[in-house]
Amino acid sequence: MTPFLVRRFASATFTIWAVFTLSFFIIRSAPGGPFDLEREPAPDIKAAIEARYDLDLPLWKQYVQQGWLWLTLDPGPSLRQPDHDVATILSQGFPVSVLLGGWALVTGILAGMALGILSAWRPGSWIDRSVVLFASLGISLPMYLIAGLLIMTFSFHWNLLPPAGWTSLASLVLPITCLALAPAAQVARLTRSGLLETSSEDFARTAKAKGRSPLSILILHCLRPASIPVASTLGPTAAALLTGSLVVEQIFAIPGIGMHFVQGAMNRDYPLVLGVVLLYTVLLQVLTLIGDLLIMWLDPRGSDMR
Amino acid sequence: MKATLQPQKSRWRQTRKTLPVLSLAWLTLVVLISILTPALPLEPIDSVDPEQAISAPSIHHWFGTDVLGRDLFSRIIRGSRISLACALAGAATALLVGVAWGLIAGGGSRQRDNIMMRFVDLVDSIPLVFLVILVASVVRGSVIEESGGGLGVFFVILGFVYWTPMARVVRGETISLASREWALAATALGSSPQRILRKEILPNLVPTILVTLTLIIPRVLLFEAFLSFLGLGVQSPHVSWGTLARDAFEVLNPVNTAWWLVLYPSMVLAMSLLALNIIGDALRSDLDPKDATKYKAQGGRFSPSSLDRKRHGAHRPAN
Repeated sequence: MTPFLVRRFASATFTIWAVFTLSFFIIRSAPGGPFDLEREPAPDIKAAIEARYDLDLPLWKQYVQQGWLWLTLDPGPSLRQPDHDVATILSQGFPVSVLLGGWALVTGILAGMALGILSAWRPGSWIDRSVVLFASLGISLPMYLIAGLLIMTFSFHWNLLPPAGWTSLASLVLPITCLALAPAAQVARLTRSGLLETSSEDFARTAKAKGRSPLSILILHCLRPASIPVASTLGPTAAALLTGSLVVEQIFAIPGIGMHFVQGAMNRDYPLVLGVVLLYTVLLQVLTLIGDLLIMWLDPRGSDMR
Repeated sequence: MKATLQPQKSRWRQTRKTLPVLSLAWLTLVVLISILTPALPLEPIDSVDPEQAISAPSIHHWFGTDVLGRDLFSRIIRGSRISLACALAGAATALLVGVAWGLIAGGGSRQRDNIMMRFVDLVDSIPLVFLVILVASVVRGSVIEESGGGLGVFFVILGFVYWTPMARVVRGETISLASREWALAATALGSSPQRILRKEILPNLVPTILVTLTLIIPRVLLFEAFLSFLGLGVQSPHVSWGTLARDAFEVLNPVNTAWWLVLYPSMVLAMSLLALNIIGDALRSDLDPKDATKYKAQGGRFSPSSLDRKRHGAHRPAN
């Protein structure tokens, strides 16, 4: 266990460093800079501003400096919003994004598992077919179509839920539904095929011979091994959720960190963009680790600690 | 009960057979239209008609018009050309890089395989999507874009997100094929390893590669729409299905709901994705007899499942 954790921690650290380095040099290789305005300021003024933020140093020095700042978790002020620290901006948006993504992840996985169980309970029935149809639609429909349909029906037509904003509990419903749909479809598919596979194994037959009802065999005996594929896709699913949240945050005008990412990259706000990318990377590493630990708990046989 | 269930089941089986055919027909139509776009009597790309702005679908404008009074039907057709080009170029990048990588890794020494697949593991652990978004936003407004190469760069970076699944699948299949008798026989006849890889193994990889491609193409298509929706992808005056959806959301308001702007471009994209997924699934069960029996044992399914996880390892999803 401990060597596994140590190795995982080392590889996560390496990944985070690699992402930091890659994004630093990608964004710095972009033409233009954070202080390009409509009207070009006098060269000496621009030079003074750049010197203020150490942008006149050689690139490798800035790289080392930025790396050190991030290690101490004090990235300094944003270049485009000089009154705000990057840390402040991120710490304001982060809880919102985590709340949105976390709820979507939890509802998506729970709904997906429930649907998977239902469809594996009666394979070939109309329930099964609708779940299969839902699963293929869920990964085929672009998220903004779902968002548009939901907004037009629930907000504009029936006037039930607010179409945008992040103020009341009701305004959470539509964005979370949008985000949760794709993971729900994916999880339903994985759970269904996993359950169908494990329900033909010997232990399931034994349980049936003992007189257990089919549903309780599925839930009590088959669900645990069948949810291994779900756990193994936790990292990728989370990554998909994060990218999806960029779209959802834009459509529903949610003040998360996704907005800062797109805006910051276009404005060349170097520290802000680096901050968002690093935050996303750390989050993904944590979720992938949780997924791996879940797999080890679900399937103690695979204790080879890959 | 059984007797009443029987005919329903056979009808379902019929649907399973006709769905891929319908999907293929739809895709053929989309591809044909986008190839023939220059020859079609569409509204010119720069024609603006403020008097017709945001008008609902009618005989003159089948899909309605957008905020500048441009015909949505014409714009969707123009968009399909770019969206499909993105998907094809992205898939081609993934194909070239992935197949070459997998073939070289799987066909060489154990040590080379180890090093190359470790690299794939590393790439997979990086959230490439975000780096691609970064690159896309960097390319935007740069010299590359002004010289007209922006779209080309965009095509290629789309593919780099999705080459690792291809590399994994090809590498696994190469290793299993290389131990077959006919590969051994070719060695006995004096063929060099390179020749065996090229002449014996590569042709046998075609079904696997095709199936993987049908998984990758919809992902690239969706990713293009996603980037364009965020304003990082295809730029005006070019249109793609993603930019059309972006335009729709900019004018979405409760007073005058332009539902056609949201619905039609997205529906065309969704139908194409669904068609690709259905075809991919049909191909998979046809080309991979081992999987086919498994699917039959599961009581009939047409759901586009991901790669067989047990054989190919975890798989990076799209957005």
